[in-house]
Amino acid sequence: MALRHGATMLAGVGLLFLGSLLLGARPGVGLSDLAALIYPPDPQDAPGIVLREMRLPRSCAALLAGAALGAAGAVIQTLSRNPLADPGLLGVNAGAAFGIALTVWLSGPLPAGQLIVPALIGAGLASAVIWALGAAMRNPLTLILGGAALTAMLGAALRGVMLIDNGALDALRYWSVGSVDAVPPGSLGPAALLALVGAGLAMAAARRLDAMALGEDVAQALGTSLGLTRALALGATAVLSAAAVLVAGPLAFVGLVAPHVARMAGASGTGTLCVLSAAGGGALVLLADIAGRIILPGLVIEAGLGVTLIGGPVLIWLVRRHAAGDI
Amino acid sequence: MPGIDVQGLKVRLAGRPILHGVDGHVPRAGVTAIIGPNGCGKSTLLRAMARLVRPEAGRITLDGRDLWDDLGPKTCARQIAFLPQNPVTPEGLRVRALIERGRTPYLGPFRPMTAIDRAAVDRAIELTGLSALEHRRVDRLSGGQRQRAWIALAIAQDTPALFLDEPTTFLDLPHQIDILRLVNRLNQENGQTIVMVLHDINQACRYADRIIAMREGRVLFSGPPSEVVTPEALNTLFGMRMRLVPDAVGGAPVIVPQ
Amino acid sequence: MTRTRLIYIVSGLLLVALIATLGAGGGSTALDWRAALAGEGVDYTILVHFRLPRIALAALSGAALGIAGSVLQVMLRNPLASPDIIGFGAGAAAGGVAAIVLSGSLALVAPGALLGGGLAAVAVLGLSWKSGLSPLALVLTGVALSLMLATVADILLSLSPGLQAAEAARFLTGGFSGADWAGVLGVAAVLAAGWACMGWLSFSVDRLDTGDEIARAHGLRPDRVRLTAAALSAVIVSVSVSVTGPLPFVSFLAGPLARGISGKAGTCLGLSALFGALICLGADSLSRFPVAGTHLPAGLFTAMIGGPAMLVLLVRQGGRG
Repeated sequence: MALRHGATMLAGVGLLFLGSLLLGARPGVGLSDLAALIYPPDPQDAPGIVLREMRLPRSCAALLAGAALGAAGAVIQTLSRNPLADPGLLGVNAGAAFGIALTVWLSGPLPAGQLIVPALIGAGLASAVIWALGAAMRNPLTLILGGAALTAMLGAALRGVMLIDNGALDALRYWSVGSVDAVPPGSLGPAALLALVGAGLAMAAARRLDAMALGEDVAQALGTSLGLTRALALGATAVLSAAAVLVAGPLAFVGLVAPHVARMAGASGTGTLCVLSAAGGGALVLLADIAGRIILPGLVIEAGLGVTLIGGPVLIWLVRRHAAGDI
Repeated sequence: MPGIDVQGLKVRLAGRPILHGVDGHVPRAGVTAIIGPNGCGKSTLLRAMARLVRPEAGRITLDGRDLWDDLGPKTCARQIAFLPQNPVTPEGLRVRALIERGRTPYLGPFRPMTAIDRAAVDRAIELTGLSALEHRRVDRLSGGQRQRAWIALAIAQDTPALFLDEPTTFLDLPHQIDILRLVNRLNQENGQTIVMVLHDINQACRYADRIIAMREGRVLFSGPPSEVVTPEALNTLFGMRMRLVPDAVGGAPVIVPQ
Repeated sequence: MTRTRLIYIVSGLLLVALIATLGAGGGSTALDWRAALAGEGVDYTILVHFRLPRIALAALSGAALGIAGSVLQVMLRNPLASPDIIGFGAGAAAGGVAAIVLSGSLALVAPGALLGGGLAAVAVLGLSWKSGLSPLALVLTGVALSLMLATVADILLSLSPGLQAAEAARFLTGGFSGADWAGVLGVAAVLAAGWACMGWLSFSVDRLDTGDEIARAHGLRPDRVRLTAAALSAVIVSVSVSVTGPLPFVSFLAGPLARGISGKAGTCLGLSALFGALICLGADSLSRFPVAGTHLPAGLFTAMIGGPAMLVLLVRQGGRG
């Protein structure tokens, strides 16, 4: 069941990726132009250039960011046993984005590879705050409100930097809204590497999280270290979020929606949930980006806005479905 | 007829039918226990009689007056005090302040506490033996003390009727007996009509003078325990064979599973 | 009781000190008090038309936000909830931006913000209502809607031409620099009316903390109380935002400060209003000092003070379990 749905989801992601390459404001890109992906196109071959230089990095960024956030969402939801947790809502993405923005502001434009460290520090600090909320994580409301406070605070700080330095406005705006419009050149490689590290951490945490799902006492009786499990899970969340932010800025709601899609597809167990959530997250961001490109002619709605407009109603629906008690 | 009368009561909760036509009578100044297996609707019946859930059909009257047609929420709150099974304990609230909440039906935005209200609170504190604890925080009391504080809140409400939903759950045996004795004392000294949902059928037989036994949203039998509690009746109630042993102390039957 | 009175006295003195030193005298232009009080000249104009309304607006909107937030927190049984986190503030902000971008002028900001805040409140209350108003559902729905409305404001910003975008961006970082007496009167009116209504409601709101069952057994109507209080706080916040722009965390911070310092539970209307006013006056004073050559808006400072405070509160709450 999970396998079949999983295969369907992967096929869907593939189709969306193809669609993301072919669809957009510039018409005239057809299947025949896909050769440009393999052979460098002729400088006169406009569709080929568009495909290789613009659509390809953009689609890769959307897929990478979505997959990383989907997996991160699966991990943090399992850890906190809170179906509403999401690295975007909890401020982890905002932490990574603020780390990058602050560095860019203080030291001027940097190659993407050097932004890994500030992104990791920012995401790590935000995760540490969530760690500090430790016991409060039991209360779904407290966790969400703390995340909202963190996000609002970091957002205000970012706006402050933007107001002080008008010249940095455009450079910084990129880090305040999630988008794959202008993927920072050279960022895909480092981000992919980071995402792999994060995936490794998530897999290492998965089995322990499965034990923890039975309750902390049972997990301890089974010999699972709670501290190590939390550290691994939060580390995975931070690293995956940092990878996503590096290519696409802070996208909210992806980590919230993707695990629910994965659960509907029959995912059970943290490992399967992470993989299917990654697929779901990738699909979601690709979809939001494609829709943002073609919905209003002459105007591009950033993927971050699209994802929020999809994710917000999903969150409201989840709250309504769960009623009050059992969230 | 004085007391509470229930006729053809049907209640739905979140779309699911819980009570399918309940009839019953709670005599004034008596102690009535509602018993039955889990999920039989006993709490719902109690809450309906306290005007907390609106019935789908049927009527409930208090001394001949309809709970919904003739009584408003405030007037009803001056007639019936209700203690839910799991009340929320506010953080940091002191025992006395909690008990003062019981006076809410008599107060308003511009009607502060008077000497009468303070006297009622004092009496509730005295009856429950909480004088030494009245300045302590409720959330730091032991389970038995906290339950006493909640009952004191209901006593301070100064109503002819007191409804309790499983007042002994989560308490150890001495504290359970302690609470039941307190409730009996309220009945004997103040003449309060007591209705409580009880889990333990032995305690129900011992401390109530009337039993309402429910199963699957209907009343199976009701009446004084010595008359209605028989091995056959218990078999239909719990689906399990029981034996009745005469109680050497109180005279009420003791039920032992066979 | 004496403790509360002491707080009032100390805060009152602090308030006067703030006004005397920073507010009226210490702006970018030093004020000649004698000339200003003589009733004419530039100094008089500065005092009456710029400095005084600015201080009055900061104090009044702070007080209004403090009351709205404190009532909401007690009502939702969560010290961390506040109107700006559950979407009322975001609705008003998005409404204000929409008014600027769609009409192309600042004239319609106030009605736009009012409409936005009202619609957001209706949406939050409507979407979270499910045979009653559960605090959890209300807050979570509000958080979701809040983010969506911020996104709508973002889309509007990216759609609008440069000048309007700049106006809208300035509105979105709230502050008191554009204060005039009309705005002061508007906020004062809603503060007076709101305070009176909240004073009436606080009797019931303060009694919801033992749970709905007991409240109803005491003859209260919890859902009706919550609905009224939420609607009232939405109106107060919308009016305040329509005049000053969003001032994050003021409505959140005032209540916990008031309760923490007075040691009382419940709405603590007077103290919450006082602390709200103090926070806004403080943030306004900070915003008069240029940072790296730029005057940062007061809304930024309220966020930078309020955010960490909220996290500290959360961790403390988490420690207690």
